[in-house]
Amino acid sequence: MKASMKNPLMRAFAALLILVIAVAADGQIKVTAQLLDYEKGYVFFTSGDGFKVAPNAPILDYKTGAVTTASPGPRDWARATFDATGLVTQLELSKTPLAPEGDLASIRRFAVALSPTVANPDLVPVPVDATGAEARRHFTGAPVPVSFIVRVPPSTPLTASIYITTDQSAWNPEAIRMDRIDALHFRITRIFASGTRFKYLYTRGSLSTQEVDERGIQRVPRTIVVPDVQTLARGDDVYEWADTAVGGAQPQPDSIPTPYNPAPFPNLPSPGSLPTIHP
Amino acid sequence: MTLLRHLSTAFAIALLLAASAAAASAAPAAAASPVPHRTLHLSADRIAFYYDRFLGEADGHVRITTGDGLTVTGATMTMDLKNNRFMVAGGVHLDSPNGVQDGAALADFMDFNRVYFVPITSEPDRWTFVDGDYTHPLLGREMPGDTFAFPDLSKNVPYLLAGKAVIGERDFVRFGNVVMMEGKVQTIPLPTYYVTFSSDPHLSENSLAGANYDATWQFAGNRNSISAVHLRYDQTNKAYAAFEQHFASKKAYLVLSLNPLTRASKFYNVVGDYQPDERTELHTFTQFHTYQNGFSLPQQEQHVTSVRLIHGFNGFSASLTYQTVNYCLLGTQDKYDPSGTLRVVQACGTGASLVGEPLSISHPQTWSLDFSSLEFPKHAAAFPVKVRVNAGISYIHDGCGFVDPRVDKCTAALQVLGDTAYTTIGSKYVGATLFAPSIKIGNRENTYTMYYFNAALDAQTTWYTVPHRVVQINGKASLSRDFSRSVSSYLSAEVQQPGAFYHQASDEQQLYPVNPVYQDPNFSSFQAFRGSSTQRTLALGINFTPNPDFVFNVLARKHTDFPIAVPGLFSLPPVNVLGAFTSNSFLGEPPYDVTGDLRMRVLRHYYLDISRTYYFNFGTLKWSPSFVIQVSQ
Repeated sequence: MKASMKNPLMRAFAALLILVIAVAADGQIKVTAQLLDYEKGYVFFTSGDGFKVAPNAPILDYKTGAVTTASPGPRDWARATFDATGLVTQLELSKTPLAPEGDLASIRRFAVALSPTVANPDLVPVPVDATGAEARRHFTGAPVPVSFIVRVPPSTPLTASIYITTDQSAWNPEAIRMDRIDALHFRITRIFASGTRFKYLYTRGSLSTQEVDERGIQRVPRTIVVPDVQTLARGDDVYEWADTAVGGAQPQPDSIPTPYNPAPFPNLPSPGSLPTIHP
Repeated sequence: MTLLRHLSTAFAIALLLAASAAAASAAPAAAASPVPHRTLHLSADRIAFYYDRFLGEADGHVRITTGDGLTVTGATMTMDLKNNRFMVAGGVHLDSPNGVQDGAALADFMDFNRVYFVPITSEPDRWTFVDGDYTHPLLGREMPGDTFAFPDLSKNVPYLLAGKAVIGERDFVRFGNVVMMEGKVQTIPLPTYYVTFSSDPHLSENSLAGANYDATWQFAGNRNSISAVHLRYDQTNKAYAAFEQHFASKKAYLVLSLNPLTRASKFYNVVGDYQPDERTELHTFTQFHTYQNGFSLPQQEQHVTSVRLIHGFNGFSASLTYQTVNYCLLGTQDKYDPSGTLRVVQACGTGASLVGEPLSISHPQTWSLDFSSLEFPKHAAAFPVKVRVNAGISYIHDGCGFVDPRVDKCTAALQVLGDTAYTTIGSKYVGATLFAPSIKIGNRENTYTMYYFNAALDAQTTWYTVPHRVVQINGKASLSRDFSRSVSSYLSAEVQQPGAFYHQASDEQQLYPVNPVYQDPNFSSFQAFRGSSTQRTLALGINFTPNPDFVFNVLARKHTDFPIAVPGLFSLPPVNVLGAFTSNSFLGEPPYDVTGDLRMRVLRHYYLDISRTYYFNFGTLKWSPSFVIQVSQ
């Protein structure tokens, strides 16, 4: 607890110290940022903040340091130099990302806005266990290994391959292939950023062999929202496959059903086609 | 019976029309919902689509109009299709129903009905439009930290470039003036390209058979339909084209396809599905198979229609299924040889047959009513075995299997036992499945030393109205263990025991005859075979998954079967167009086999699957007929 209190204070103190030193040195503050717009005497960063640009402020090329005729535009990167009054006195442009320099938070006080800042109730964090507000939860975006372990029905053939189909892959029925780990279970581990939300179903490689619910009816896709945890294990049960559910297999595309066969053996040799081993 | 068949077919067609109507009516239904999904129209000098991140980036003369009367122009735009938000920046001009305003940037978080705007009046400001009210912006309201952030795409390359796009919020995007990209190289120009990212899988249902490779061009579509051309390859048809049309709504879908489009052997498929509520589903499948050059008069034509109604009750579900198959829709054709002799050519079947040969006009119809219990007990903490019970009845009728055109008399039926030909056969069955989902054995503290035990037993008996019954028993058990994060293994044993039993010994001998050829010592076990087989499989599987883009599986199996497999005695079951066996178990499986299965990412959006089986010189069989190769996105 003590250390966690100490670090932010130390960081704030260090930032303030750098700011004071920088201002005291030549009265200038330099920061790098990505640009949103440059017009009507203002430059806008992707933070949404707009800053007044001094008349005749030079526009330079970041690499060469020479004056450039290029006009600052959205997606450009720039190193902006602020004077002590918050006026942008110089812009150095780059088409490629620049290494972070300066403290963007420290120059927010220079941002120009007609209206005073008002708190936004939408941004109040919602507790993880709150219901009905999943989309407002805050996530760090950290990578989280997510293991899907699925129990398949006993009717699943031993040679079957199991896949996950998701709305992230346009419901490709073979999007994520799983590994069999025993007679009734398959597993796959994938890494997702926390906050990732998607819907998915299990299949045996085609949409005509996708999972159905316990009534044998096409089921609603499952939903997962990856939380901020070290690892996540997701266990699911497939109750039955569409082609092995109650009512039996349906005809498949591109294959006229085989004629009625009273024998439960698909390749029983018929007496008329017996092999001749010893001619 | 003919009337019944026509009524049944009419019912299937009516169902298709109903599903089609349901799909077509979906758009107004969606429009009437409280929070309608809007359609955005975007144009720019250059639109880049990053499929792997579902991001659209537009630059130069960006113009976007939304369904609620908002038009925004600017220098650049980024849109996150999955998170359903977009941002326009650089010389932004906002034209709303309540006036116009210039600004630096505008971001629309469509899921939340929030539009964040940085206007420039006398000075910059921050406005938030809430719930589509562009008259009363909330001034100075704090905005989310990433509202105006551009995504970092330095490690991504676009999937395609385009000049315009129609974006169906949360559902689809349809690009115009498209150039496809592979890496940083521009490849194929296309007039349109449609991508769906809907969370509803109905629009992605398909009616095509598998293929080793399928390149799909979805050239048209909206929230409720997709039109697509497929360029495919499989081992039977080689390279060919196919066409597929999808319709979908929240409760129904309809898929029509023609596959292959460019081969003489064509399948016309229709799949329909309608779910009026969460307990009921109506599913239908209709297929016509023709052999025709182009779209000329077919030389062969067969047909199948299947309709299934499923309803879930408390504790069990029931399914009513009807299926009709017509193995020949064309009948006969008169032809004359050079001498002027009339020859009647059969137009269906494996080939043309001449006068005097039986003509297949088989057209069986099947009705079946099936019941299946839910798993019980629901909570199996104290009792680690779950049970399911199923039962059903069915009825199949085929008035005439073959006909001799000379005497116009049926010469075959569904089944002939003794002197009796059965054209109608009823059946009833009862079955049960018991299984133990997972029992942990060993050190539970360490995942990599713990074993999991699973077992399942399935048994079913079917009684027929002919003196015949079929018993099928299948048991399997496995022991598995993870050795590390990337290596796991399992040992599995499976026993299948299908048996056909006839009340009369003469009937049994008719189907399973004692033939002198079986006197060969090699066939000693088959000589004793009377319709009851035992197939034992011991399998060892090893999985190696060092990373998600590389998977290698090895499966080694030993089969100990009765009757004993003898090379040449049993034919191998047919393979599908992918080169894989269509049957999972069959008589005469080679005693030993090892299958290697490799999957790896070969391009940004493509995975390559390769598998093949080695049979250890069983007769002349060394390898499976061919590699099973499949490319998927």
